[in-house]
Amino acid sequence: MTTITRRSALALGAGAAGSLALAACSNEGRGVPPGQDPGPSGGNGGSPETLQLPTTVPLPEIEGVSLSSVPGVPPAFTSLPHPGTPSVTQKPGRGGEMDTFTITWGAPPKLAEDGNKWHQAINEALGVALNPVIVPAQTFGDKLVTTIAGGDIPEITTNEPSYRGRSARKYMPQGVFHDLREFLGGDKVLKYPNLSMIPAPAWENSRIGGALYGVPCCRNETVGGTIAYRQDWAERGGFGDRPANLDDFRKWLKALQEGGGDGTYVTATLDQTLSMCGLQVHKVCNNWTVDGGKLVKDHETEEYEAGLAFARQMFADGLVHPNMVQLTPNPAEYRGQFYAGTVAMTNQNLDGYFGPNGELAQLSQRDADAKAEIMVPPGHDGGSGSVYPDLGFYCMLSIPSSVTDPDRIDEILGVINFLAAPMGSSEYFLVHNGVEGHNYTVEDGQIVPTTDEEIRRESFLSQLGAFTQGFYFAGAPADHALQAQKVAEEMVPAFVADPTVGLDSEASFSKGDALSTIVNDYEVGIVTGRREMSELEEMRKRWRDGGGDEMRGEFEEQL
Amino acid sequence: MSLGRRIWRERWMYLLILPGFIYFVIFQYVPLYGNMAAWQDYSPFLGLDRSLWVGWENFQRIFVDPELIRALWNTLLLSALQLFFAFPAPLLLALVLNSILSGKVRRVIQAIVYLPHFIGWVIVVSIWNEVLGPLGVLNGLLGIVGLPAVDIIGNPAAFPALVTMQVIWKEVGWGTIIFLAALLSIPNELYESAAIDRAGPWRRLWHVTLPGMSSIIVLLLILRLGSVLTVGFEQILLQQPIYGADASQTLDTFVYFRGINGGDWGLATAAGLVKGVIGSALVIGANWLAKRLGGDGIF
Repeated sequence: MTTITRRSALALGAGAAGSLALAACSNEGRGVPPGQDPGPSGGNGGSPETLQLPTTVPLPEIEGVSLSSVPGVPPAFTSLPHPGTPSVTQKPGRGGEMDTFTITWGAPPKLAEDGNKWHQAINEALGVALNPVIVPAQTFGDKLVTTIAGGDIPEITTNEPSYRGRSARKYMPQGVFHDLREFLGGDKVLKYPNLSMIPAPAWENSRIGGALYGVPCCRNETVGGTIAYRQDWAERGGFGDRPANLDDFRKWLKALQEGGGDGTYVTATLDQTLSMCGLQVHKVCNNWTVDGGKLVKDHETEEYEAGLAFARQMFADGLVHPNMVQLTPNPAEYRGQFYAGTVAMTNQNLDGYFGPNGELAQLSQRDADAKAEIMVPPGHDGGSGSVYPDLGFYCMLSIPSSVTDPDRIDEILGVINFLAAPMGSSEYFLVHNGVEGHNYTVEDGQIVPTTDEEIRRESFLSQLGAFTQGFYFAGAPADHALQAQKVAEEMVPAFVADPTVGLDSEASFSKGDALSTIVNDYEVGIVTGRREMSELEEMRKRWRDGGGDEMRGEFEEQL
Repeated sequence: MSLGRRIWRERWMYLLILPGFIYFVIFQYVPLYGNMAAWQDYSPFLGLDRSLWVGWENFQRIFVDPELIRALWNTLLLSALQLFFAFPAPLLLALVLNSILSGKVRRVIQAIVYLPHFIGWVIVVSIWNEVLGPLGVLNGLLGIVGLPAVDIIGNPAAFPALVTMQVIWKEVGWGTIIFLAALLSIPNELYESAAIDRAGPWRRLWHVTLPGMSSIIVLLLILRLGSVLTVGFEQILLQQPIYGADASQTLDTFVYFRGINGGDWGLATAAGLVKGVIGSALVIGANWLAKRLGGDGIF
């Protein structure tokens, strides 16, 4: 069979390439046969069935840790022993360069060649010069796919298979990246001690079609599902206690607005209004629920309908900012409304409320008298509302299958092992805080990050060094970690699992985003009163016909 | 004279053509090869040479995919609005500007109406949101005079009209340049003759100005028809989160979301190809019609 590559086609020119391509229009030897796992890439051993997930070993006990009595709640660290214990015995690198690819939400950082001492120190400690490509979050998904299409994939590539990099997920089973079970499965991971401390849920939830296409950058499962609110407004409005059920919650929402005064609102976004005040309070399932062996989508449930009606009533009652639709996609703007004292609530990842630049600190900077608290929305019938656990990782670090030399793969895994240094280790400080005396200082045993904006731009690892194992907020008062842990103790018992985590559906790859958009359109319309509640049935039908039922079927086959 | 000698004689012309020719070959013709993905379940990792062939399946899916049908409908609606309102707007403005006798006043107005062309869509959308939003300037003024607020920003029903008005506001001034140039090319003698024959302003417009501009109007109309299924990518994409996909999904945003974001490159390429074929057919058809009606056409 005649085969041509994209590059050779470009060289040949359109006419010649076209004729060759037509000659090559058969499927012989193409692609991966449907339903067949391509097996571990690189072709060096191990059938997919026999490959295991890596073993997990417990974190070492360190001074200053506060362990919760509630199972599943992450540890809190009021301080970390500095300079910490080394977790890596020798430099993982063997000289030369190593290309990396990651995402950033901030301004582009300085790199080693611009005098970045943090980057220089990391290179020195690793024994290999990291050569980072850092992509803004807005274009990450596109850039990742085009990088894969280009074929020149960096040796450590950040993947976000459930978030901005969803588009690349489809290509992983085609063999773009190594199935790391081959190199880390079972006790093989013990060769990389820091990777062996990655919690089991992070490994399990990062599987795609059963395979492990990256090392998950583990984080707490307590991420979303809480709200920060103006307690001082609630008190002024005559409802200072925490609401315990739906009736209380209604009164409490009105008290918040009354306490805030004219021109204030309770919520700013659709998420706060519908997801938090509506769906979590009405204990809606997490994405899907299993009923008699069949999957039911969240918006097909009665609880969802009740939550949607509640959010609609909130909007009609004037509790929601009139600019909700514009504010929803703009975190800087809706958070700005909270800091400015226009809106009573905001939402963030649990860690994002705390620390020197967290939501609470930002609010205090704008209004020193403001008093905010964080809570899990109450359940309509008492107790806590639903909380949806995080996957336990945000992104994963993948190694492209184009790297075939086992020694090089070992070197790359050694570098990732260094970047995954746990709290309490000396490498942790270098990865997360930089160079002592330059990027941070230690005062009374606490890490104090620099406030020099130019030096702060040296933070360049982003998601390459995003491994965390609990609550710790460098530069913040020690009790921030304990406060976060206390909120987590409310969240964990209210966790509702998603039965489709770890399952794959072709329809969800190609149509999932479009279907979510349809649902979002109806939700916005119904909440704002532009659509009738009765149109919910139409939304469900469009979702089912547009690929929802297809998705359901594909998931059910794997249950 | 032999072909070689003729080419040599015009060698400088060919040299001037060369950069443009190379541009078109590299960026317009060679990428046509990628359209093969329309007949494949294309994967960027596997490439065109290893992706599976699926025959005409992607084209069949175009006509049954409800999202694509909606995107096509939205595109046609927006395109029709732009054709009927945004296309003639610069012509009308050019006629008005041409009728202003004071050169100074005309230049000041021209400068003002050109200005929005140089503002990026991000800024334009923000300005419109601030002015027409629920708490914006318009609703503030309505509230002062005791009138109820209007629901424009975020209202899917208002989206087609809003997008059209934004296009007119941003591009109407810029679009007058070519029409003003055409107006200047009409000989003054024709107006003088018409005036001697006691033709009033409307008659002069109808019998002198518009016929004098007809060739440029037809030219621009034919070119516009070629991009009838292209209604502005950035402008739409920026506003999609506010108005939702039902109202604002167009063929271009569909190709972006389904192709690049959703990884369904085959369907997206097929949709893009169909769009190109329709555009080409419209240009050829309109050109043929223009010639049949006695005009020059463009080729």
